[in-house]
Amino acid sequence: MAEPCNAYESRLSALLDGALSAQDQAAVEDHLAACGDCSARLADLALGSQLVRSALTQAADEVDWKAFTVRVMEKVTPERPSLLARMEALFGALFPRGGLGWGLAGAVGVALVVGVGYLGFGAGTFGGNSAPAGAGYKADTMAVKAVQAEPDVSPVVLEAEAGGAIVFLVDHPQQQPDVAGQPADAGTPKAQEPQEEGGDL
Amino acid sequence: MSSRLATALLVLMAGVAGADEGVRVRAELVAVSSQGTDVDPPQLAVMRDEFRRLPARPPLTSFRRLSEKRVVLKDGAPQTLSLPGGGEVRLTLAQLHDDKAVVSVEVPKLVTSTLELGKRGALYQQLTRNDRGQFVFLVLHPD
Repeated sequence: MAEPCNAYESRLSALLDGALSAQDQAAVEDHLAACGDCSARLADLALGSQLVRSALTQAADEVDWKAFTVRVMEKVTPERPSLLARMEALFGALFPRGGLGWGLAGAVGVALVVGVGYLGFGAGTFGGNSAPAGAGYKADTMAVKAVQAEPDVSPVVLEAEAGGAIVFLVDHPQQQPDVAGQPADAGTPKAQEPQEEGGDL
Repeated sequence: MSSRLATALLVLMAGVAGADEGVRVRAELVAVSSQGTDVDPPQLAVMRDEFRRLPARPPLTSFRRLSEKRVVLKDGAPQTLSLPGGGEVRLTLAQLHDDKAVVSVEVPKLVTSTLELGKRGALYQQLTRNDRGQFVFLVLHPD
């Protein structure tokens, strides 16, 4: 009599890792040839495994030298004057004679420009690629700060090429008692702590 | 002195306007699959290209937009988007400090991510479990 699927589930990860004995491997492959559910489960596991491998490779290859350069350049670049000081300089250049009237006229003029900007903002369309005009966008790129997932899911954070990040959730196979009484999760990925972008995966 | 006063008033007005405005993001829900090669609408080619370079087997090749919404996030006012097949994803403004916005993306009983908005790029967050090579992703764009 053929063994039920749960007798094979715990061996799928080991199959992907090449960790089964020849006899076990042949038995699992025979079952896979006849079982669509287990084949699909194996494909899901393979996908998760590839993503984890990709994240590890990215973490190893892309020690954030770009950020390092930016940090160094920030240290060696002279500090910009404050906004107030820059605006004072601007007003000083535009209205060298000072005076309340000129100052207020300048303020009203700038406020009008800002107001027109706000009105124009609402008229944009989806898919536009102009820089964001609203609040909260001081950071240069979108970034993942932390991910917390259920215990049976491991988050994998990958850096996106065009900036930003991709957060995948890799399912762990359900823990089932092995036919030989071994723990079902032998050879499967361990649950990971929430990851931060650029951290160890 | 008077120009200083006018400048200070202007800066104060701009700050108040920013606080009232909230934080804007463009949120897309996208069905991603390893079956087919749909890219609908064509703007999702950017997402396809990002995913194409992943060594996923089978590769993720189909990208279909399910919905798109411009969302304004304010303190204490989470926004929710409905997921296909039930459930929802909740977007919350977790922090707005020094003009840097941190947004929480929560799918109950699955995942909570904390994301910082920025001028460039996009954030792709998987929202559903792997259903035989099919997923739903949230894509957050700057707006």
